[in-house]
Amino acid sequence: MDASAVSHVAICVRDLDTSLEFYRDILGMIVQADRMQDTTTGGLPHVYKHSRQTRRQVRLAFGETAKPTLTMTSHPGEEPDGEPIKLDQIGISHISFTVPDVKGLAGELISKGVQLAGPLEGFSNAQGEVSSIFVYDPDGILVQFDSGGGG
Amino acid sequence: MDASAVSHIAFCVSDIEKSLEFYRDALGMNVIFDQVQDTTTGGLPHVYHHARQTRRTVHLAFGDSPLHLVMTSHPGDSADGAPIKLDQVGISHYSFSVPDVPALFAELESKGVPVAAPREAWTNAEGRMGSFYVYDPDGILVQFDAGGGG
Repeated sequence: MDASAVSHVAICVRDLDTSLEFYRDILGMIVQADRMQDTTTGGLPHVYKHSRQTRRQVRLAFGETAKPTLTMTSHPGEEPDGEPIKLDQIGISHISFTVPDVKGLAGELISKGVQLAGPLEGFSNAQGEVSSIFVYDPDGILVQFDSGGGG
Repeated sequence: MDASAVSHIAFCVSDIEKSLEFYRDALGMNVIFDQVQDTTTGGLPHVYHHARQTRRTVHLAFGDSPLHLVMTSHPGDSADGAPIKLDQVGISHYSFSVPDVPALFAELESKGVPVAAPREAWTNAEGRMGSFYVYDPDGILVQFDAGGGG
């Protein structure tokens, strides 16, 4: 197979406007597209749990043309089900963003009311360095920030 | 915030050897890293559903891409959780850009990879297949697209 790149990571949320306050306004991602789509034809009904009429799809990235995008969807007027998972549950648990100063960012996010997944000390090593943190997005989906290493 | 890039996308699987047959052998991803790690200290217990002793972590990438898929399993521990569909809250899938979507569909089908719907479902009125979905060994949705979003 000749795959060139990851094009997008898809996230379903309860309320897109609330999620935009987090991903766009707090994290600073740029909205590349925002549109309504019919979800009743083609392949989509096969990869849906329930039958849905429409979805709002917003594509975000750190840049006007950057890839991969976070492709975020909601289903206006319809109640979503499902619950975000933790790292030891089968499925895609989180995405991680590389940032230059994890500890500085942790302080910034806390001051903006973002909920850390554990106390800051839990993410600090014996030297007091913080190389990665996890926070919850508005739906409780885990989001990680790291200093460039893996994991 | 100054985030530069997505560094990784993490997923948990029930049997890493089976998943390697899919991601490494069928999809052709490179194994960048393969290590057993302690999961009892630091931040990890805070983002785990259950207490786990160790995990095996494998990083995968296409070529030398800095974006890694980070795959973990917990040897000797049974995993819970079930993959979600596109209309359930959480991260439903990732998508890979490929040069020839219909050819890949045929290739993966011939290798016995379960596709999420038959060929017709992914083909529009003009006969064009812009994307399709398959299930990985745990039933996690994986999409392949021609480079567009969605």
